[in-house]
Amino acid sequence: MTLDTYKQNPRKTLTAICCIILGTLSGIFTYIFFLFFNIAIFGWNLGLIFAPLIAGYVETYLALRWLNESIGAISAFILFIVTVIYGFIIANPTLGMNFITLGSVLVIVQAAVPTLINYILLVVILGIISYFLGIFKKITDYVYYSLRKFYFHKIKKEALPIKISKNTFINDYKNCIRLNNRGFYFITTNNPVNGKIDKYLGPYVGSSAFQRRMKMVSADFKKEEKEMLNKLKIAKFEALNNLADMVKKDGGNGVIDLKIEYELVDMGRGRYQVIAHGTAVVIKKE
Amino acid sequence: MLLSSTNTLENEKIIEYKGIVTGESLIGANVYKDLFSGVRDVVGGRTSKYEEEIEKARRIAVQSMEEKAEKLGANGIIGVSISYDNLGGTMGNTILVSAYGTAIHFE
Repeated sequence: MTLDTYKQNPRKTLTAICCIILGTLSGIFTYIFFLFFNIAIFGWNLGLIFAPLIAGYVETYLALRWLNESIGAISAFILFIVTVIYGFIIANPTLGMNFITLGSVLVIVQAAVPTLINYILLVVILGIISYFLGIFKKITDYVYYSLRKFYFHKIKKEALPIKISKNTFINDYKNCIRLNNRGFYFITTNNPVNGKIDKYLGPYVGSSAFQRRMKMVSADFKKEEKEMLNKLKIAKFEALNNLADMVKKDGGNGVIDLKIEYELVDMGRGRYQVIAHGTAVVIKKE
Repeated sequence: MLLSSTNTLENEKIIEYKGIVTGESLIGANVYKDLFSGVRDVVGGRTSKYEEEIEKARRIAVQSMEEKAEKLGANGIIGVSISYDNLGGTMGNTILVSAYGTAIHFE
């Protein structure tokens, strides 16, 4: 029934007002009862919860009986205002400003305006938490991965193709070509390919270190991983270039038995080191 | 693309050196997978999800290395090395899978 219907029907309006008044009175009596007997937990009077609840219950019960419909538990909201004004401003008999009080205020508000508070609790707060933890993204990623896996395994009967995020490797390709175009032999085997070792210069080490950006709360693990991977790749090329620079400076033109190592330098602080080491040589092309 | 961890290729003639090629992938700190792996560690048994992830990471690293070799005009990679390094992280198990080798062209 709309507000206009109540305006057109004064009898119904009066009945509704009676319901609200009776609901409010029962709530006030409940609050007095709890205050009189000091029914409290941790100094916090339970009447602050039960008074609005009883008020709303009585009002709704009467409205359903007399009007065959609910009128919105207005008395619960009135009781909320009454209890807060009395409890906080006039008497302040049980409430002190502490963590429990703040929690209780939230519960009272929840009793008075449940839709708004439930929205704040469920949508806003949970939304913020889930955003930072990335829960929904993880769930959708998992569902997508499972469906894709099912499609390829059960329907197409073939292995799941690997998806590589191209933007992670953009610099990597350029760096790889640049590295191999600098007129220096980076050889992972013991012998040069199509060449002859003219002179051994000894072991050489090139290194590069970087610090990982530490976060208290991570919004996106995947993004962090990509950042980390890109930093590792950049550090690897720096280490290889440093090694080549040192060898070139001493008259060499290549490194054989080249090895690349990735290490965590100090546990817990996010410092990493990439080392490229091998035997520096002078290679003559055959 | 022929991959070999050896220094040479038997019965094949290496014509040209193309350069060093590398590929990496990272298995990050996924809280939920880590939690379940932790449970399995206590009760025993194989952490199949983890095995799957590591296998996937290895394939990505090798594929990335192969793609670079192809771009350099190579048809083989010798002296291939694949390593798994624990890099710490939030849950203490960010694993880097790296693969590298010497790109070559052989007949």
